[in-house]
Amino acid sequence: MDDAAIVQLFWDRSEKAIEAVTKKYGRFCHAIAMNILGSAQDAEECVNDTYLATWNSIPPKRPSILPPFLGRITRNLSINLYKKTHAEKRGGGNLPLVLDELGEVIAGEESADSELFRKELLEQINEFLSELPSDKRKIFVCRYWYADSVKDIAERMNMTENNVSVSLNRMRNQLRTKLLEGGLIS
Amino acid sequence: MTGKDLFEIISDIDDNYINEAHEEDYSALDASSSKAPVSAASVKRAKLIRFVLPTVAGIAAIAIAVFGLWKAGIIGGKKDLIKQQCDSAIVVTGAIDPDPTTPATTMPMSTGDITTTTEGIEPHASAQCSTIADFIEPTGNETDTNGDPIVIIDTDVSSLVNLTVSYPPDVSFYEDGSSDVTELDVVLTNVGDHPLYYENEFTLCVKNENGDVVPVAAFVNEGENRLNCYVGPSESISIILDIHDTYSLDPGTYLLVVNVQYFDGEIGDIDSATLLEKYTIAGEFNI
Repeated sequence: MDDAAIVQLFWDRSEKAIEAVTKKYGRFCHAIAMNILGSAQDAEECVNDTYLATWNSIPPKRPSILPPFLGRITRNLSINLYKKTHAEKRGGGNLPLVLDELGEVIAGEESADSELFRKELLEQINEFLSELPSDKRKIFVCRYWYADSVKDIAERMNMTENNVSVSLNRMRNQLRTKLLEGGLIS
Repeated sequence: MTGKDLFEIISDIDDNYINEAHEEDYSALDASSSKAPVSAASVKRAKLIRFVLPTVAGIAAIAIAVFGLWKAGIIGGKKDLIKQQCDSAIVVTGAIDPDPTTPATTMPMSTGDITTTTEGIEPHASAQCSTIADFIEPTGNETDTNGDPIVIIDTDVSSLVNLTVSYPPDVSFYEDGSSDVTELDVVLTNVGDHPLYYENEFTLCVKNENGDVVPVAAFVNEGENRLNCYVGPSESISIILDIHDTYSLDPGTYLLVVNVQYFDGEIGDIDSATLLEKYTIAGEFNI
């Protein structure tokens, strides 16, 4: 079933929408949650919440590309659950390492509370991604959006883990340089 | 501000980038999805060949072996299998120190600060594919770390085989002039009508200031079954040569050299096949 048909099922308020999205994107959403949470049980909970949130969002929304829409909901729910559980124990799949790596990019900055600042930062990141070659961009997004492990990215991209790590390190430095030049960090 | 804040901000990046990164996952789940179009000369598979850094002795061994192979008439131009050892180049492999931690003077470490970045440029593709038809006599000590010079004769074999070499486009150059090229992407295309076998070793040579070609490194796919090293007619194979991250290549003109053989017969039945032609081919590229 194509995505437009699935979205239409949501608009028709048909319960088959959940069945269809589970069948097509269940593993996809589960992988995202699992990368962040590192717990199958927590991931399952997040995926179920994703379906509910999607049900509540469509309508009124009508996403043109369904996977990022679902993935973003799963990711946000997973981050929320991560925050909740992280206060109690150490864990969280690949996320601690991913967060440490991203911390290097904006080391020393005091706050990201301003909505305007966050918006400008997002624009710079999107611009940075647009300037990357496709294969490098995939590596960056796999790591810092999907929180994929370096091993998984290496297999996906047919590279060595070492090469993936080097590429990520290089891209983090490039992003930091770009943010510095843009005056967003100092 | 923490990594967690940045991770949350990244959550809102453009949908297309999110889609692009994992597209194959959910397209594979969609039963109605069709396969991607395949070009006539389809890329068969990607292989990874690790870089074996030659030590000073290793480089000298390459030079000796290359010279020895030339003297024995094993490499250069069309040859008859009966008079040659098909796996003669393995001699070179065995002579190279496989320890990748030993530095070589021709491959300086990339310790300088990045001063310029050439991100966004297109990967360089080689425009030449030539046979190595002859070598000149060594002019100096055969064990010199620079190796023996090789003369490339531009014999056109483009109607039979193409060898292109490229490297990732986001290469950075360091203050000492070295680069951080970590891999070379090689595409070997069989334009001929017969199965093409290639040997498990690629030799990287650099052209020095005098125009001499000096072997500096070898890429060896250890343990690879030779019978797997073939490219069918009108097919291509993509091979990734993995350069050790600790080392970098200086800017310059390089040649990637590999021995290939055409056989008449079924693919995978090389033992009963008849050798038609054998070439040592080289793809030239610049860093």
